[in-house]
Amino acid sequence: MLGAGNAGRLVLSLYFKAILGIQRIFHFETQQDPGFAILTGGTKVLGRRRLGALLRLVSLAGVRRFMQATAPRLARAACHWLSIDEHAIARFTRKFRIPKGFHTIRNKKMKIEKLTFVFDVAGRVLHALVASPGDVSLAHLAKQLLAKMRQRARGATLRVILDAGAAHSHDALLDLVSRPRQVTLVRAPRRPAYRAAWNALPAAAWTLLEEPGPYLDAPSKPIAIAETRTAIHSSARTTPVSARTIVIRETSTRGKHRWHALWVFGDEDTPAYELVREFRTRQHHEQTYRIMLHDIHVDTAPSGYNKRSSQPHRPGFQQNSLTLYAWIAALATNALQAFSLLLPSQFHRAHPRTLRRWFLFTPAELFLGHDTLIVLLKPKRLLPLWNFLIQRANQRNTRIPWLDNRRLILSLEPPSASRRPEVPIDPTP
Amino acid sequence: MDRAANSSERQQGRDERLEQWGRSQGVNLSSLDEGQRWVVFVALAVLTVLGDCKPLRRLLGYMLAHSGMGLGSSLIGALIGVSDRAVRYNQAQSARDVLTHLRDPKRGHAPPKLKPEHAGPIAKYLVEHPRAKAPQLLQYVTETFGVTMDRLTLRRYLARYGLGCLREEKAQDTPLF
Repeated sequence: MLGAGNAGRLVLSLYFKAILGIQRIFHFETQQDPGFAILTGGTKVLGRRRLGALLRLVSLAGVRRFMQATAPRLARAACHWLSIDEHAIARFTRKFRIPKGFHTIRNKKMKIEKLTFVFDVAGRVLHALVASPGDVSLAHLAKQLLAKMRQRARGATLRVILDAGAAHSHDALLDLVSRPRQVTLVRAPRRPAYRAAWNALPAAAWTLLEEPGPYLDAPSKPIAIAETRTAIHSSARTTPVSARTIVIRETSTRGKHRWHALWVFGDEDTPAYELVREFRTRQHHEQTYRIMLHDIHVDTAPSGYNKRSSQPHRPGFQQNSLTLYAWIAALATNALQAFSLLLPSQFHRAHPRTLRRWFLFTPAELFLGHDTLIVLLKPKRLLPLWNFLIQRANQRNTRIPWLDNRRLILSLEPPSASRRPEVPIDPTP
Repeated sequence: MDRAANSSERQQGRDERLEQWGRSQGVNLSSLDEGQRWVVFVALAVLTVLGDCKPLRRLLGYMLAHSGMGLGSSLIGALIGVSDRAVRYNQAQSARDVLTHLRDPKRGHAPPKLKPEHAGPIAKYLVEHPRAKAPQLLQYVTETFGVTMDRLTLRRYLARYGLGCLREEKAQDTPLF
């Protein structure tokens, strides 16, 4: 049983590991920084063995309670734009026979475990997570996640954006989309039969458009857009469902990749090109996965399969530690983005590595007062901005519960007389 | 009723009023001369009209402090309901500053000269100079932040930000990182 103290240390260690970009739990062995120790809730950094043991010890029910308590609030609105997509973590094991799935970045079917997140494309915030073995379909996971999001949306319309992975099984897709107050945009798979049908559309059905090129000053990209209907058959229904289909053809390229098609469920009115632009906002979700992979190191999550299983051909799947690790990584991603929005505009939505280089990896001295923790920071650049941030931080009267509820005081080292005056920067966000 | 009788009656009323007010406020008025007693009496009469209007009470305090009647700051403070320190602060201000403050009154105390963000360099100085006396620390504060202050204010600041333990022997019990 994990006590409250250990649970706190576990969560803080994983959270600040993600914030500061420590690649693996294994690297905790060499972490001796006293500031990092305070951040993780103690006077010494936890060793990798103890941290790993605590992570394996958490119960799934406890993880779910933690997720419920820390889930970002969904603002009250008439409509929410949610993207649901999966992130595959490759598992290089020969001993254990775990399910295979398609790893899109490596472009092959391999042993993977999946993290599926709900992403609010308007606020660019990760909202919910399910960890699963690699062979579970996106439609199945999206159904689970949408059930939770519907409760949190409090009756608002959900506009759900899904990649083609959700359209593999028509039964699962139709089960997912046939919900009240839900509009679903799904990228249609480029199957030969569909492509043949799109190719057979009359010339009058197409509208020519020009889009900006892939880079600045690039020639504009001509595209053709058309609307049609696709009959989607399902074993659960006697009659096929007629799905509104928006087809885009890139006129300057050839091959199957020039075709982009969307199935739209629950919205017959919005103009086709607007829906295409709406669907493209899921790119922010993909970009967040890129950040989680390369900056937050979510792929170093502990395995979901049981490495101590006595049956390597059926090791089972344990959600607890994988879910906790990935959820804390998501919270850290959200927090870093929120922090960047407090900074001047040139740092808005900056990559975590940029934020770490400019703000988080700053040398400092720590002084433990009777009721205070005084941090004397020694930044070299952006001193006016630092002054602004420190004044704001000190006004908030932040207390550190795990350090005898001490008040956090941030200070700057007085500038030396020999320092060159700095170019002024507007510190307001 | 002739003039002398009027004057005598007014004087009797004044003494009764002053005695009553002195008792209620715990102020000894026996050391006041005749002129001062009249000024205090007039001030009390004006204050009954001013009521709780703080800007005008403050203006009255400024006038009394500059009346040249030699009224002490504690007496004026007791009259207008502020501390003697506030009376002295008010007295030291120029007429234009008083007018500015009346037009745009600021609530509460003046902002402290030493801010929370100054605690770091002071903590570092205390750790590096564990034997430093108050005058040396005051000198460091003046040189580093351009702030002049008295010992009491500095002591309050050190207590507020828990910096006392960084000096002398107590520092050994507290782990410093």
